[in-house]
Amino acid sequence: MSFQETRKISKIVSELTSYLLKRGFFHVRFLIEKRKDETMIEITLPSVKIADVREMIEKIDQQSSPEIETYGWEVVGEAAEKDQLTVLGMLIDSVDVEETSENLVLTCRRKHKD
Amino acid sequence: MVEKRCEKWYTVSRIDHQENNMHLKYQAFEQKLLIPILLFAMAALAFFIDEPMTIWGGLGRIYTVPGLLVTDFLSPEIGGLGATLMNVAIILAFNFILIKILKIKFSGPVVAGLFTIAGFAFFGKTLLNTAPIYLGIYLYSLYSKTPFKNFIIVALFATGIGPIVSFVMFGINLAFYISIPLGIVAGIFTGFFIQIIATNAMKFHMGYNLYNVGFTLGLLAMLYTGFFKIIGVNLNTGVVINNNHHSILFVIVLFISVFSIASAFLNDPRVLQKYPGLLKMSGRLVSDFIRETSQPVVLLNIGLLGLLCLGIGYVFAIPVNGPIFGGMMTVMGFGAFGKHLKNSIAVMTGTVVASFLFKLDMQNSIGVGLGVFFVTALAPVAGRFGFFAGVLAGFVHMIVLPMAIVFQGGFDLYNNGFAAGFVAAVLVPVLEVITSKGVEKNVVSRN
Repeated sequence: MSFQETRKISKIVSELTSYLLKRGFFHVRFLIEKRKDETMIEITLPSVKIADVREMIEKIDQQSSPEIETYGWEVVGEAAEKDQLTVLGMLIDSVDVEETSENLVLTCRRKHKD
Repeated sequence: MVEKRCEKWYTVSRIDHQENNMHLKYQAFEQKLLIPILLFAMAALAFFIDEPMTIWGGLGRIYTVPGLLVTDFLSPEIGGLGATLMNVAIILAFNFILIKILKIKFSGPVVAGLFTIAGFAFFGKTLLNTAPIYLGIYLYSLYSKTPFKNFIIVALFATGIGPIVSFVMFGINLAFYISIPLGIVAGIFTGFFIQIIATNAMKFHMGYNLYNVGFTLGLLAMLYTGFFKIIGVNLNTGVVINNNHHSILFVIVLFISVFSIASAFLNDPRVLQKYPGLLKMSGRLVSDFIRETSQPVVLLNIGLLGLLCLGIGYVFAIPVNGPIFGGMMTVMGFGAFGKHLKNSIAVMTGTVVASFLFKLDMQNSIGVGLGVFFVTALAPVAGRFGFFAGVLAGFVHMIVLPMAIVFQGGFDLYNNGFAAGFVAAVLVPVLEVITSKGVEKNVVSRN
């Protein structure tokens, strides 16, 4: 995995953190697991229901676009702006959502591109 | 016992629904609508206007002028209308075929890139002066072991520095057997480094300058200008403008605008109700409007921006020549990649205010006229910070603009993009601080 990939993973974590904190989700647990071909980012939100973050999930659920990612991933940010979440979504390959009575767990995966 | 519910619908929807949906969104632009029609219309119109021999002769002259800012190919001593339209058709066809071969989707930036290429083929871009730049980018893709298609956005816009190739080939008094290979080398060299610099240049203006590659090219052009000046090469090739084709160019923009709007309504009769959703977006890089809204909404936006340009041109009596036509086409193309009525009007207002206050001549000064349209590079400033911030950005842009051409010597056709980078870099951090957007509001805990 290249250093560029590491920076992209850091960008995803940083922007999602910023988005969630700005919207009042003050208890957030991140688990980052770097594997051979992909990196998994697990976000645990205690006492949160899907409906509370549905908009965020729908925004980050984007088909990847290598050319847009190559061109502009450096300025992805200001996640407070909803349209910027869409761009962030291009860095994420899949999102799984798991809801329990106690937590909401979002599992984002990014396949290593180089 | 813990109640557990897995949302499997979500992963499934990603694979089945989203992929197909996005494919359809982009396909419409590619197969049914604007780009192919634009291409064939330009070629057909060229033969309708001029004889084949006249077109051929004009193309020869277009290919061999240095092409520094501002060289209007419509001028009879260069190309004339028929040859210029053929130049547009050739360069557009080349890029269209390239995109098809690489199987690249017609996303917002790609549409913006094609419109920009079509517009600047009226004053500076030719296949000859852009091909070495593509080759340089291709070589960089081999060097970085990255597919060339990943660099297509930079490639489409990087053609704005085509004059470096033409100038070295035909603007310096060197024998052709030296100057032509040297021009090719200059293009390859520029193309090779452009992606690296463009990615980093974006951080300078934080994505608030839509012509990021224009800014990047300006930085490179500044180095070339310094080099040529230090070795005593004269860069003053003069300004060539031709206003004789105002009416036909006006009608072409009107036709494309009306066609876009009609296509939008034919594809989605409820498109007008959806349009306000687009107006809420800031447009900051990298906003692909086709992805974020829909193809009919973007078509409507492109058409409305075209009408806005024509309206401004008409009200302030700005003659439509090659460069102004290029400006209008660029504004329309970026209707898929960051510009909309709301954020564009604000910055354009700023240029009009500056023009009246400083008595700038919009009708006769091509630099001022171009500024009125190309200032929309700063549209995201208005989109993020509001109307008055946009007016301020447009106003400051007109102050910075004359300095930019001096620094970059005319090698960068996107002079406004170069200026806009500095304007955004200065204004945005200040606006961040003084507007409420930069201050954390009282957020109540939700968990």
